[in-house]
Amino acid sequence: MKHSTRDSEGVLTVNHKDSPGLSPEFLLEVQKAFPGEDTLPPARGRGMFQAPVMKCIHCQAMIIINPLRNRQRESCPKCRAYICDKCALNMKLGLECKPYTKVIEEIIEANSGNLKEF
Amino acid sequence: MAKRIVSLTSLTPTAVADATNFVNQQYFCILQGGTATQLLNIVEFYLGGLAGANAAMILLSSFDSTVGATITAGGTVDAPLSAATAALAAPMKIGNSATTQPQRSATLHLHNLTINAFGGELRLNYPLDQQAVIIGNAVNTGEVSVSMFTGGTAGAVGFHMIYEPA
Repeated sequence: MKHSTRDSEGVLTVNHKDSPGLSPEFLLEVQKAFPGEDTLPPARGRGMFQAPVMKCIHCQAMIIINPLRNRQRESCPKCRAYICDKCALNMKLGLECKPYTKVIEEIIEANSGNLKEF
Repeated sequence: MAKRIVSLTSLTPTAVADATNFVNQQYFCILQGGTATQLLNIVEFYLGGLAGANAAMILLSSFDSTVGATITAGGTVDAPLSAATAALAAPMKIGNSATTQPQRSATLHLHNLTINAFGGELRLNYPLDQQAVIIGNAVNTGEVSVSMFTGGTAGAVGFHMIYEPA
C-alpha cells in the first residue's frame, strides 16, 4: 500500500568527484535546451550529486526531487502522484488527466481484439 | 520474468538531434518490445566516463518517434542477470544497429543523463512501481533509445541498462 507520494523513490547518483565535472553555464544551457524537463541542477555539476527520483505518472519522464528547487512540485490531484512540469502545464491548459497505465491498457485492448464494437 | 542487462564496454557516440536518424553503433542502445503488447520495465541506467579529456555530454533516454527495423546487437551485449532465466517466446529486440534507423522523439524524452565523460559516472535506479514502461513495438510507446544529443563533446563511455520483461 502506498502511503505517500514520496514512497518508493528511485535514486539518481551523478559522481564527478574524480572529474572536472560540469560547469554551471553548461548545465544552464542544458536546462534551456529541455524546457519543462528535469535535468541536473546547474549548481550540482561538480562533486557528488545524489537525489531521489520518481517518474511522472502521466508521461513517465524522470522527476528529480531537487533539494534546491524553490518552485512548487506539481502533482495530479486525480492520480495523487507527482507529474512533470510539462504535464502540469498541459493540465493547466485544460488537457485531461491520463495516467500512463491508461495508455498501456488502451494499447493492450486495441491489440487483443477486446474493443467493443459500437 | 527475469531481469536482463545490456552493456557496452566503451562507445564514443555521435551526437544526433531529435527526429533525426541514428547512426549504426554510434548510440548506446535501443530496446523494443518483441510483440505489439509486450511490456518491458527499465530498472537501471549506468554510464561511466572513460574519456581522456574533458567531454561534457548530453545523453538522453527517450521514446522513439521512428522505431528501428531489423535490430541487431551491433556492439552491445545482452544477457540475463540470472543464469536460470527461461527463454522468452517472443524476445524483445535490443542492440545498437538497425536497417531502418530509429529517431528520438522530440517530445517524449524520459531521462536526461548528462555527464562529463572525463571521469564522471551516473547511475539511475528505479524501484518496482516507478520504472519506465515500454509497451509493444510501435512509435512513441514501444521503443526507448539511449543516445547523445547535440551540444556537447563526445567522449568514450561505458554503459549498461538493466531491464525486465514483464
